[in-house]
Amino acid sequence: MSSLFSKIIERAEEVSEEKEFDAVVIGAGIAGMEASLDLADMGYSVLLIEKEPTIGGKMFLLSKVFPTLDCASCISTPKMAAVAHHPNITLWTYSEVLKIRRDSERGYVLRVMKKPRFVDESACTGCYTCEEVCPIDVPKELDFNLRARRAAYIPFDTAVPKIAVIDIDNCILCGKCERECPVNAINFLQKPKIYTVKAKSIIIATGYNLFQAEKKEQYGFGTIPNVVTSMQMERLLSPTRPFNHVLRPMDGKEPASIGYVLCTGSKDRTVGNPICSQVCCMYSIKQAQLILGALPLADVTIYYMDIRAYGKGFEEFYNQAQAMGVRFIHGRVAKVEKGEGGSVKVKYENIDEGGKLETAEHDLLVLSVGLLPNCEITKVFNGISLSLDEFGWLLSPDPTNPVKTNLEGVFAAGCSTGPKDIPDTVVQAASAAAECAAYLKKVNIIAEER
Amino acid sequence: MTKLTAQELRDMLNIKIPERLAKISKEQATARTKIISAISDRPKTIPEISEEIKMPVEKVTWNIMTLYRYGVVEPVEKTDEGYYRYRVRK
Repeated sequence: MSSLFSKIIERAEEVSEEKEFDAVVIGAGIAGMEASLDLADMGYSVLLIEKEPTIGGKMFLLSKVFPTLDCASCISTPKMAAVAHHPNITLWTYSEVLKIRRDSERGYVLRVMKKPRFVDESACTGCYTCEEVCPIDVPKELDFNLRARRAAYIPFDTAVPKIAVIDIDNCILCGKCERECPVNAINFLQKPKIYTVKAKSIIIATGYNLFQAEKKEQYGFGTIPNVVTSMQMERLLSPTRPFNHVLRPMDGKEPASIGYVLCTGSKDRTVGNPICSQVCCMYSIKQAQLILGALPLADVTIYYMDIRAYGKGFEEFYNQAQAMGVRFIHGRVAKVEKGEGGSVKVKYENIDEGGKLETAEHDLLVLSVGLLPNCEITKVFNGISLSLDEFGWLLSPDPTNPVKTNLEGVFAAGCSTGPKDIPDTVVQAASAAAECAAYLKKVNIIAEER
Repeated sequence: MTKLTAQELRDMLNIKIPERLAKISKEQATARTKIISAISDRPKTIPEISEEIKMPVEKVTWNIMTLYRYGVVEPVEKTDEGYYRYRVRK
């Protein structure tokens, strides 16, 4: 049976007026925001497209960043506000690129669908009334299902734009939100709108996907209570955490012993991802330190194959965690089992003890999941092909210029070409913007000479 | 009175509310009522609530944390076993 949203998509309206921009940036995470701001500051017109109802990507979901332990949302929120208020940036959230083709002139033509929020964007004040009266609770994706959100909701308190959205596939069309909205912003008759956009250049900043931990069956995610992913742990540690403290999702108990399994879904040929995700060692060490800040009496154990502390200050950060009492066990976890009273049993090989097979018990087990490509965008290119590398990330064919793709005028920013930490993502996004600006200048000179 | 756009959409597309959603809505309302009732006399931990209303502890946690987010309940104290007790917010 088709969903209600798919029925509504069939009612999409074409908008006849064409839009033109110097650059279209696809994806409004930290890379897309950085690239857009840099281009806009240079005077270029930018259309920033985000498929989710808010910009910010994954960074605002994090607790803190490593190795400085700066607040992640304190860094990303001002950028989100800057993007929303920049005169040269047009921001389209809750929008998807349907097709991209090369124009006969220099440039690209995109078909972009703005999905209906069922809320009048110009009227909504973000007051939460619709969310408060909505009778339907669904797992909140941004909290990785640790608690519920309503079918009518604002994604989070500092969302940009702070406009409600109605999850129509989970809506019972009871009309409570519509009756209670103080500014009459709810409109269930909104239709998707399809725009034609011309752009001289494109920056792909679609980020990454997280490894789905349930695919590593022996680790028990989804079947053994109190086995969580590292992103769930990020949320538990964040100031905007879904719980009132760092607690077990099964029974709300403060965990006294927490284990981490590194390389869950990375450096692992059995799940089809043989490469290192580059950030898991350091975010796990960061989380371990934050746990000891929140729960000073807790025992934290990290099971690792090797620690890759390659960046500036990373080795010192690792040493600091050891000095704080975090226990590092050199060995691969083979199996996870359900223990007594909600505990989790971990069976592992202790390499530093001559490969001895040992068992440990933890109140909470965190799977440090790897990063996977998110390059679905390549499917919308029509008549032209955007190349991927052997692991499914965007290919940057020129090793001396890692932001260029195989298509002229199409650049890659952030994790679209491979896993990166936040500073590297921002550096690469700035580089993509600089390359894009140089390309636009060249294109404009050629156009003037004609 | 003007017809709601929610009703108009239902009529226009001949939409019937899926049984799944109707069931979820009913179950959630029942669960919340039971949880709130269980802590109305005194604050209780999640396992205590679970025991009293015979609801799986994971389900109580999920509902308590959602009620906490929407400002309906609040934690008051922590037990020696590491559980918080929750009460209805006044």
